[in-house]
Amino acid sequence: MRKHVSFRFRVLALLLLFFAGSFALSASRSGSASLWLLTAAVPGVILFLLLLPSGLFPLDRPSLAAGLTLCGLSILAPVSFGPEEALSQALRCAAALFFLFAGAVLLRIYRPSLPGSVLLSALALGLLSLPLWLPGIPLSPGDGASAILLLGVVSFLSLRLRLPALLCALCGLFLFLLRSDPVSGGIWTLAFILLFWASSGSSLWTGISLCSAGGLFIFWILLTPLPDSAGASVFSRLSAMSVVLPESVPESILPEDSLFLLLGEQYGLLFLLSAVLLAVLLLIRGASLALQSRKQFYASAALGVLLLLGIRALAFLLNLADLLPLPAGSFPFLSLSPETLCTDMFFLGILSGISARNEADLSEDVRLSMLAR
Amino acid sequence: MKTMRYRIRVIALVLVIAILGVMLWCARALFFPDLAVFPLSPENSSVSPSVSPSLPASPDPWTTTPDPASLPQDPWAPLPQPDLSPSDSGVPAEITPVPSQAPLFDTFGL
Amino acid sequence: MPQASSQLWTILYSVARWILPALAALSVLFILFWLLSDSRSRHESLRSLPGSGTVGELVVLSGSRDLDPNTWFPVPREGILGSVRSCDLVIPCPGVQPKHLDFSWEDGVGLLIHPRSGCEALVNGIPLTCRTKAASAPLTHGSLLQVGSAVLRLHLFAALDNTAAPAPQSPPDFVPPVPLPDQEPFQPEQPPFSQAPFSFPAEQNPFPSDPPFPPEQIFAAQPEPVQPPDSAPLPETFPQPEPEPRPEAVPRPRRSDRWKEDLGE
Repeated sequence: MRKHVSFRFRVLALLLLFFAGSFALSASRSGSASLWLLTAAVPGVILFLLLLPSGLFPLDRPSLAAGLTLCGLSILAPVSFGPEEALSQALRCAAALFFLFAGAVLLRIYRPSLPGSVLLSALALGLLSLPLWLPGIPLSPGDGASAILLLGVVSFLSLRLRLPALLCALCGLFLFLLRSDPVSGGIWTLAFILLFWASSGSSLWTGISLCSAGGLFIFWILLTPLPDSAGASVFSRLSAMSVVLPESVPESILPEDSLFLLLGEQYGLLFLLSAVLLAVLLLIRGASLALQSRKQFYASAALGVLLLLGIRALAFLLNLADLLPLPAGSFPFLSLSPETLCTDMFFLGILSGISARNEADLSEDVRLSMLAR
Repeated sequence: MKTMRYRIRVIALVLVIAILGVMLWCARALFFPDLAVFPLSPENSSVSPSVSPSLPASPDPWTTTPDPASLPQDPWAPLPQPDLSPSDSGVPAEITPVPSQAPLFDTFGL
Repeated sequence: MPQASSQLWTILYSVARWILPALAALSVLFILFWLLSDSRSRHESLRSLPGSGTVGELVVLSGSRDLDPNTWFPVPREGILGSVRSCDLVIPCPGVQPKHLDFSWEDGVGLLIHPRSGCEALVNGIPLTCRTKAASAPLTHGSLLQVGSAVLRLHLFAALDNTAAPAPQSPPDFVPPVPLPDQEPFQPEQPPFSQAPFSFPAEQNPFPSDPPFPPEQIFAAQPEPVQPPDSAPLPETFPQPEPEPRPEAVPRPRRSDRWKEDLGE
């Protein structure tokens, strides 16, 4: 336990040094008040969340460390473009923290039941179909709806209701395709098929889900052409990056660009490697939490989060390496979109809730064994 | 739950290996382009990585014109015909029989 | 706000070119060590709790050629019972399908049985199919489960015993179980320690209010009843049966070549 705690403090110290140093470097160059504020705020928030007592609010610290580091990198990336852009990104990340706590609370209080599953699935499908009813609406949650749909489908699967789970997943896929978002639809399809395979325990049902979801997806892309990945090859930009920070500070880059590429061009390939390895560690932690869970609902929820984040990261990297000729969205946590950031934080909250449930189960076992002594 | 745990391990392993594999592929393409297993696409092959002075970029063998002198000699290429015309010095040239295609065993001295 | 001179900033930048990536790499490395350390500490804590994650055990009263009587299985909180090796409870008996039923523990209710389609199970003589509501016949401490030709008895951990469930019934064609020596046929009053409450979630009842049990009674079906001091002696027409020695529970074999493989795995 002592070693365990010492690793936490070592990681915390390293993260504080890293972010304080990075922001202070840029702030000392420009003298911007916003950057000096970020120099204190970003490490401060990381310190606060990682030191938050478990008794007050249980959070999964290892996954939180990885997620918050990626968030911090997403704030660091646009610094060279302008301090105000970095401050806006910081405010988006701060607002997304609310969804971290919301996800953790939801997983602690929710118990799988038929009304709950129907409610979650209906809410998710309603959010997905919102742009179809109200075309002029500016809000069109896609990623957020997929997170809620994941909980609904997982809830159905834990109640052994495979047919409703399959129908909800197919409706979700259909709505993704109707919204002209085949990439999200493809990610959802793959995640759902693997989730169904892992949790249904039946080859027949897995085959049915594969044929129905895969068939619908293939049928759709045969009817409608897939969008090409916009712009020139991104791999050429990757090959122009330096390994460490470049010798001279590069010029400002447009903010519509990918934060992942911005990070690489400003801070080098080692930073990109660290970001990818942090995402891999987050996936490993998600798998570990899924394996420690004693109930199928929590194991399936952790697996679903792992799949949605992991397949998205893989699709992004394949697009980066010019192996996937499709626009693949953004890397997990490295996004300028508030909706994507909130969804990623919600996933982190789900993992924290599952970790808290696992700890509660273990403490219950300790209590039972003490009762027997 | 036993089967589910096994399948979770499989899925996580495949995902992690896939992501690390793509990273390795990118690293190979950036730092060791001459180790390409299959030809790179034209737009990638024309880009030279400018990573740092300590890592010089290797020339791409799929696009650069090879130096004829550096190419290995083809052992199966026909040998040049000897000049059978009489020389100016009056010394008759030795006529040595040169087959048009050297058999395998003669080529390797067997 | 403070701003460094260009010369100073150039020096800071040239130092930061190497230090910042090193810090980033070290952070990733230490987060990995943190994950490994967390996993190791969890394994150690689970090793000190051998019954962790289980609610009790299923003892085989009558099995088959591949399943000896008195074999016991630890029962997890959720799982699948079937005849293939990939199931959580492997019962290689005739009449048991490869994946026969799902089971799950519900606090305050008991072990719920959900037979799969085309499968049937008997809980204390009550037949259950995939259409029967599982909560109508939960398995509690001492209950009998019959799947195929196998008859199993559930022994819950003492702190998970649920006394709210009805007493087990015996239908006419039911195989009578082997009576345990500590189960008296006539019990004028319930012994005090059998009234152990079902488990509360840790956040609702963090402090156990029941007296601790001695360690040898963890797997006991029921503790020996306490004879009241002023109870009248039993009449001669109902002689007290001699308590039979409890047969030793044989741990289940680790792996059997006779068990069916699950090709889906």
